Amino acid sequence: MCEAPARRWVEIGFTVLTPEQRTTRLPEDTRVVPYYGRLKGFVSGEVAVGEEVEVETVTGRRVRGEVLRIEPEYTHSFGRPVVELIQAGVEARSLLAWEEGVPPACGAAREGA
Amino acid sequence: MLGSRERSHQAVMARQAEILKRAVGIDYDQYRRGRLVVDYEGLMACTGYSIDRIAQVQAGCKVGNTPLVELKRLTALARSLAPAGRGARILLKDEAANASGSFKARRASLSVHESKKRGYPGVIAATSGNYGAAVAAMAAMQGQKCIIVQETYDSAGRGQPEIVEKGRACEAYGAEVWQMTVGPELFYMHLLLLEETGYFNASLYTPFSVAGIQTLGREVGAEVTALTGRPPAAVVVTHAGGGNTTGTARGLAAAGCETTQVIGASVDLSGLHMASDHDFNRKSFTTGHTGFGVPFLTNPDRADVPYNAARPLRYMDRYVTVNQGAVFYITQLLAVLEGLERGPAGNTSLAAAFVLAQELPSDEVIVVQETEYTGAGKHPTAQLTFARDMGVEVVGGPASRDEPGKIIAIPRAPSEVAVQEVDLDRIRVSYLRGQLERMGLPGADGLTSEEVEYLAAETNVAEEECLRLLSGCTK
Repeated sequence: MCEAPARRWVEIGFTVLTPEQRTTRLPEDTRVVPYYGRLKGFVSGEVAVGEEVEVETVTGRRVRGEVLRIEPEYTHSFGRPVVELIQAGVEARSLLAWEEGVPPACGAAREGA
Repeated sequence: MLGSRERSHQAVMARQAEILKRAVGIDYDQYRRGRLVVDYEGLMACTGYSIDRIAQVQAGCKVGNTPLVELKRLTALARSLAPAGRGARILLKDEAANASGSFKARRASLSVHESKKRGYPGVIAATSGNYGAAVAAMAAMQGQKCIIVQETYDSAGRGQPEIVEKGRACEAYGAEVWQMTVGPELFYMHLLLLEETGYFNASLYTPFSVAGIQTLGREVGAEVTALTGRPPAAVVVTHAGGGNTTGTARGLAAAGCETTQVIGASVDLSGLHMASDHDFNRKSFTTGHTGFGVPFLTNPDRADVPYNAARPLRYMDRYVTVNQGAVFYITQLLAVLEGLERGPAGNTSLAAAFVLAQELPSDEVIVVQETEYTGAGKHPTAQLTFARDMGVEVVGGPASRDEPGKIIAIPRAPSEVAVQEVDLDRIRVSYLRGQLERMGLPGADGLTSEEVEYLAAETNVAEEECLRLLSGCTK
């Protein structure tokens, strides 16, 4: 029985169109930068960031590019607290408690009970 | 499959008609009647699916029959601001309950079903929105391969958090995701991949996609009528590319809701350029905004199909905008008053509905017809943190302080949530002017009676009114 070769999950990047190859109908700030793409896939054996590789995507297609990240992590998050929103929520609840005939402080205490 | 075919931007765009014809499988020319008129109802009927059959396909894909919930505490808050006797009940269609977490699953279900039936090896969609996750999820459960092409990053490699999240969702459902930098070349990339793979173009704008939304409008109409004994006074739709408005309105009509006002709502992003690398990450909404909403009303055929089945100007009775801060504010209120963490997309129409409810009698109903799942990247705290990091100021205050790309003003009190009316007649004139230009006509004089009839239907006005608006085009 032969062992399957180790495969790494990587993110590659590649220039699709250089600034000269891009459509002419672009605002200046977009016109001067390349049209660039990123994609994830498997690559056989050991790889290093910056290396030119061919990956096999999850649909089984082969695409070439430069390794940007190995086992790329999702780093998007819920961000930092936004005090303006927390405050707005507290005030809307107080306002509603008032409308419902419950003085705000009392309403807060009842909810805590 | 691509072989040695020329891959330059110009060459691929020149092959557009040929690529799309194969990838959509609809001969659009069959529905053209001369230089202008298109048999729109004929095109919509080409899917061959009745609404009942669509609902059946969707039920098989874990889509549809989502809960309609009453937002009692938000209604009470709206009533506290309204004159006596005003303040309609606000109902919310919780579309986040669909597989993949948004109403977009209704659009994707039929497209993917059709792609499989016709023997395409897979599906491709070019979208930075929930539609990508919807197509990926539908493809996953129907055993189709799936590629999603997104506009995700600026040239410095900074990803818009909401789009990064949607990309993650697409990958979670097993799709191959192409994450591109800013630019209209997304369409070029889309065409290139369609040609290379032979996959089906699961465009947002085919009759399949738009027909899939009709079940949403029909459910809303039928459920409200069953609940209150009459159709809703108004349904507020978050408006971007026009499919949501078109499909919902058609579904409402199918449920016999002739009196229901269809109100479009978009986030005001005026002043920001949609193809600008700089502006890309200075907007906190990736869809449901005026950057799509206005151009798709004035020229729906800027789409990735030869003729867009989403024609919102035919169906929209009123169009309003809200500022970014108001949507974040109402998202917070939905969580802390109603116990629902959703959005952002549906919360654009919710912010508008909160204000519009105050105009309506308290025994009427106003419906917000969608929600979407929320999460990392999509949540207001994620977007506002990113906005601040990009140098956008976040302050408390009324909509008048808001400046897209520079200042996000979050209302300090519910009375600071406001809507801005968009003059639909100006939109109609802009649409009509575009059509006249396309035909090379200086004015309405050269139009046939059939063409005037078509333009009246396109702009949702009587023929006489259409002629009056056409006369305004030459001024």
